[in-house]
Amino acid sequence: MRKQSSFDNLETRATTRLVSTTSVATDQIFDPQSAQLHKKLYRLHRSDIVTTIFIISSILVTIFLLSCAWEFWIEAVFFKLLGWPYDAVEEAKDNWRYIATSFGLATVSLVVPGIIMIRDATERRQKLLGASYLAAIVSSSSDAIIGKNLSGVIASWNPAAERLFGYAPDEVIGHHISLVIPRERLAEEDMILERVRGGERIENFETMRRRKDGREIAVSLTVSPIRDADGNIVGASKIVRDVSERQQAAETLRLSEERFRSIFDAVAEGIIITDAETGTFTDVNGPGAAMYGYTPDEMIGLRIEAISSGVSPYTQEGAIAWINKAASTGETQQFDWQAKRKDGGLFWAEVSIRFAFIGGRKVVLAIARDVTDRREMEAQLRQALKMEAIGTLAGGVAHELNNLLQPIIMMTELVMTKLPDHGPEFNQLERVVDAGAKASEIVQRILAFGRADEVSHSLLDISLVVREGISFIRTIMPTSITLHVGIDEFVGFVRGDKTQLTQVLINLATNARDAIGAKIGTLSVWLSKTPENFELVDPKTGIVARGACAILAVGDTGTGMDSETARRIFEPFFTTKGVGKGTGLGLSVTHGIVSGHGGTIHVDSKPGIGTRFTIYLPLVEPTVPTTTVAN
Amino acid sequence: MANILVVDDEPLVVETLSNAITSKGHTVVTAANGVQGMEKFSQGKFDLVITDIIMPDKEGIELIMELKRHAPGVKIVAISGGGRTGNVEFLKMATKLGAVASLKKPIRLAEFYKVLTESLGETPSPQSTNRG
Repeated sequence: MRKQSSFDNLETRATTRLVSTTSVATDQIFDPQSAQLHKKLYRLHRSDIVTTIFIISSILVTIFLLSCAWEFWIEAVFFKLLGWPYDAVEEAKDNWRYIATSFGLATVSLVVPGIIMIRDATERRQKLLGASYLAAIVSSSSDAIIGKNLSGVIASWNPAAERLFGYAPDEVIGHHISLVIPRERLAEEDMILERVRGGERIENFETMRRRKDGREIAVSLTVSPIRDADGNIVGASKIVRDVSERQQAAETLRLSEERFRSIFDAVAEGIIITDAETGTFTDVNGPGAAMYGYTPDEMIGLRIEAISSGVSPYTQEGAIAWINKAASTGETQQFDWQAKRKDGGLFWAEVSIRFAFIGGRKVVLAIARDVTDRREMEAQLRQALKMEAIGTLAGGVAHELNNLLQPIIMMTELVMTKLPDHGPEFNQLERVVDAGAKASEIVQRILAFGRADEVSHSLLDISLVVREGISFIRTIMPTSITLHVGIDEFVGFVRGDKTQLTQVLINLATNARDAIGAKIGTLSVWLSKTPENFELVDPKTGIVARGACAILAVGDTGTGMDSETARRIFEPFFTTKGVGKGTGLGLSVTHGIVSGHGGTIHVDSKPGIGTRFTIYLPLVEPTVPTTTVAN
Repeated sequence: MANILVVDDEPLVVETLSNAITSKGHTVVTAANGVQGMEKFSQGKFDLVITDIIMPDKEGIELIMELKRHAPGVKIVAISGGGRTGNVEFLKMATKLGAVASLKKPIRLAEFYKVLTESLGETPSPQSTNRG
């Protein structure tokens, strides 16, 4: 006889009175056919036999007692009626106690076994009913339910198990569970049984199992220990759920997600998904986050304002205006946006936005592309066109002026040849020639600016040039501006035009003076040199300065500029000065001259702090740097 | 005494240079552009041709090339008021094409006389006398 057991909350307490040598209560639960068999066997319950013998014995005793009692009673009545000696009656009276006791014992002998039988019958009916329910539940379960002992031998096998694995109960009961376990996963079973022995319940353990036809299926196992009446673990019940479809669906979803994610992250453009209601980013691809200097996780949850320059109209409100336009027109909106990186750096992004529904939520789908290079190229092209226009204009003007200066100067000189040297008329005409010569120099400068002429480059000691320039600057600086000068004694030689380089210095000093205005301020001029292995690329012109360079820096404590102004200051005709106070050509000319010397010029400025221009000019001696144009 | 052809589209320049040339006792023939210049050159015998570079109808460079084809030994001085298309390069080109000298306008009288003398002299003249 095998021990009874329990199965979770479907508990069937063992009854040791069960006559069975082939199965157990658990089997009844797990196997309804077995339950039917036990129903019949139940009639041969051992306790029933004992009870029956006891009842029969009780009846016999009762009959005997009653007969004895009856004997006393009849004898007493008979003697009484016949008028026989009263002794017998008295004897009968004396035996009343005995008679009554006999009746009482007889009654007890009948009633108690009766009660016991009724109670047992009720209990058995209830148990059988419960077993039937459980059997029906197990039988109708869509999940395979398998019972096995602690050695892994299968004890029960419900119809769903048959459907799932393809084995009939008689093919597997009594066999080891490894029948349905792929070879490479056999170790799992040892692990499961070990945990079950420890009383542990294993839930939703996802693994693979093998069907009768050899096909492997994905399953989810829930394994619980089975205990006997004393609480000892005697086996395991296993619910096996086929999760192949679910796993396939999950895999399909995962592959779909993977495909989407790989495309999402592979595109060069930044893709930003914004919740239309909250205005926060819900997803961003890798390139998009990198474009803004974030990781995707850092960027999710931010708002548009966090990645906008904040300079009107590149603000949260400005972005909302575009979103509203996309909403009202239903069309994709495309625009350039001044964007901000995590480190505060600004760049230009070309953004396309449109509405979409993702996961039932309305979102703004934005595709952003860094177009800083394009904008820079456009700016350069605009500048080049302006410069070309100025050059053409300057060339044309120079040509005409020179043709007019030619007779003014030469005719005057011809007249002068006929006059006595240094006479009054001669001297007056000499002024005319000087004025003509100065006018001619101005024309030469216009041509130099317009690149329609070449300047005379010679070897210059840059320290001397700057010192001379500073002596001139001192004359144009008001007393409210303190001049700080830091010039290395010998920096080196540059090949260039002294007049032009002096003009650069004066232009920058004049700008600094105007930036400081009426306030008290400081103008600083430094001259030093870079190391021999210096390399610098001008992002605007593409000019690369390599080798040793002279560094000429001019700084002021003036009003400073915002980044937008600083970006445009080298553009011709761009000026922040009032009408009549600046032509907008000074820094353009400066830039042109520096570029013409193979150098680069940079500006650093902060509003309210000041501005510093830094010029790098290639030194030609003792080292010979090369200047090339970057591709 | 030399016979000099002056080709320039600016009458005031032509007049000025003519005055300067005649003041040295030379004779002058003038033309307002390259086409006229070739015509005048073919009609006479010239010791020197002074030509502007940027002119209507026929540019000075073209004139120089044509003159050199017709009369390889002709002495030419190129002059230019600069500008327009960066004709400084054209002045260099002119000397490469055979001009004995090139001058930028406005040309100072002394400079002009010097080039005139050198160009007409027997000794080779400097290729250019650009002012610094």
